[in-house]
Amino acid sequence: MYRKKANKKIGRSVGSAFARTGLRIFLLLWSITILLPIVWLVYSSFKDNREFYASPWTLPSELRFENYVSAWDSANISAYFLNSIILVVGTLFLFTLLVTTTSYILAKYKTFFTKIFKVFYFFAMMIPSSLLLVPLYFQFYELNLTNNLFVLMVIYAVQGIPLPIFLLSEFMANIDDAFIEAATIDGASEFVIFSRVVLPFVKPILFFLCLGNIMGTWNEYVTALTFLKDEALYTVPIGISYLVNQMNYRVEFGSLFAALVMAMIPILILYAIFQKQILNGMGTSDGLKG
Amino acid sequence: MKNSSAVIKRKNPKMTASKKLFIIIFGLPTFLLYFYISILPMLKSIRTSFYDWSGYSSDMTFLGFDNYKEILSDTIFLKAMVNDLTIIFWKEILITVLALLFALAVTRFKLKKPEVAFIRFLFYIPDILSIIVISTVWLFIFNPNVGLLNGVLQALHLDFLIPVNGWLTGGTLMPSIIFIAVWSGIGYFMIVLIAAINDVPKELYESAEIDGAGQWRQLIYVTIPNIWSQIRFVMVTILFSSISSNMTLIMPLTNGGPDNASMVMGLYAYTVGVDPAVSRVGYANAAAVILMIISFTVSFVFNHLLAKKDDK
Repeated sequence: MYRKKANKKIGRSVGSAFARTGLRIFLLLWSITILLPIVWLVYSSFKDNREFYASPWTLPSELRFENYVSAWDSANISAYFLNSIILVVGTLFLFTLLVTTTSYILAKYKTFFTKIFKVFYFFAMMIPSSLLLVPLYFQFYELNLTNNLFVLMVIYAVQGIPLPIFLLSEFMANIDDAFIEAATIDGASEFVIFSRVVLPFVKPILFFLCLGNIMGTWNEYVTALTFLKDEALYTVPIGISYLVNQMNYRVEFGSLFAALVMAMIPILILYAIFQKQILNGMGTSDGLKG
Repeated sequence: MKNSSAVIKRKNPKMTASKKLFIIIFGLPTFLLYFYISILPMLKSIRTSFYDWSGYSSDMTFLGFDNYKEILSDTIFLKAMVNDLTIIFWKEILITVLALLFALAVTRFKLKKPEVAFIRFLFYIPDILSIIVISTVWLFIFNPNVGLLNGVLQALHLDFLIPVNGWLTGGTLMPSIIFIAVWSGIGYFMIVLIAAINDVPKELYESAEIDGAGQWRQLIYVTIPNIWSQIRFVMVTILFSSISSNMTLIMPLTNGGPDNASMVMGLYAYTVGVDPAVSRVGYANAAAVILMIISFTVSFVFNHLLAKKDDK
């Protein structure tokens, strides 16, 4: 009996070692599907067209940094970067303002209106904004405001608020009312309580939401493509799709790849620095805890 | 209304005029903006779906349900519906299984710490890249002339696997798209499931081990029941978000081509509405309304079905 149990245990650990090896191989293969395209993209950005056609996957014979210079200057990526940065900063400011204020009154003021707002934003989370792009476009077309970075800023900041409001107000509701009461007794105004007492408590989750907003704005493609028709206003993603479309007439693979690398770099840097905050925040963003 | 205000007065005796003003200042502008950007377009799309309207002029002709009748017998729309369903079906299966597998690998398979850190870091990267970067990179990987995939297959002497007419056409079109959709869609769900598994109390595993349950049985009887609500979240979110994400993925990848073979419903509604050559906004909005109804209903039913399983 004792022996039988021991055998069984050995059998199991051999089996799980086997399973672990199989799993490692699969994980390795999946890693390659993510790493290889990125690595390929980076080293190919130093190739010239002749090398591209000769062999798609070999290394470049020399590092042609001129591909980056030509993408940055003649393919106008510098202008697209500037537009994207303006858009990111403006959207972030507006988004933070809208989300923090609404979350605060939903969390700490139980009135008829705040309850209505709460139900409203909860159901608004389910609105698929990409299906509303056509009517939204014509709504601004009537006002002659489609080719406008500021309008795009407002749309980005406003469309994405329901889920952040839902998450942030949960965190704000968990703040002990005693802190707020103490501040009230000390004579602090509503606004001082909000900015000096409540906001510091929710800094981590707010920071995570802001990171998500920055990345989302930097990456956004479909809305910008619909609204921005003037090349001077193109953002980085629209600029890239413009370069891809131009390929039908004039192919410069090296500088196109250089443009793609440059579009990725800010996001990857942000991710590398704040990986912990992003992954921890994402882990709790399903709203199923607590 | 009277009741609720009485309750508030008791709970919070200092609901002064200044506090009311504060609530209005903090809540109302945001609400009005949200209404203007998200609710008003929805109401407009419902209204104009009953009209023949180009969007660029003010001429509108009332059609009743004609747009709806036409869209439901539009062969491109029906083809797009089949494509959407195919992509969603495979996404549900592959993303759920792979996200769970990767989450288990990170949490339960006793891999080395650097391996875990590497997987968590790397597997989330497709989620943070712009869809335009992802689609352009994959367009080049699948490119018949300068593509990485064909180059690698040739180097491995696997030329016979290379489709004659290219990857993003014919029989390899949908599998390629499904692969990219799954590839770019796993990260977030993996992270959610990792957090969920890490929250399962350790004692449950210990007592299961004492009862002689191996890794497999621990998975079936401890892990999965304890993270069922998150698995449900994953499956319903895939279902709910796919109408949009299929559209945003395919638009830069194939734009529905070749010859509408990879068309999806969201993209069709968008193209019919925005393309100045077609510009049938009323028709496009009828399609969008149908899509919203479909995705709300299906998600609701699906959520309900999975919830019932949970109770058993």
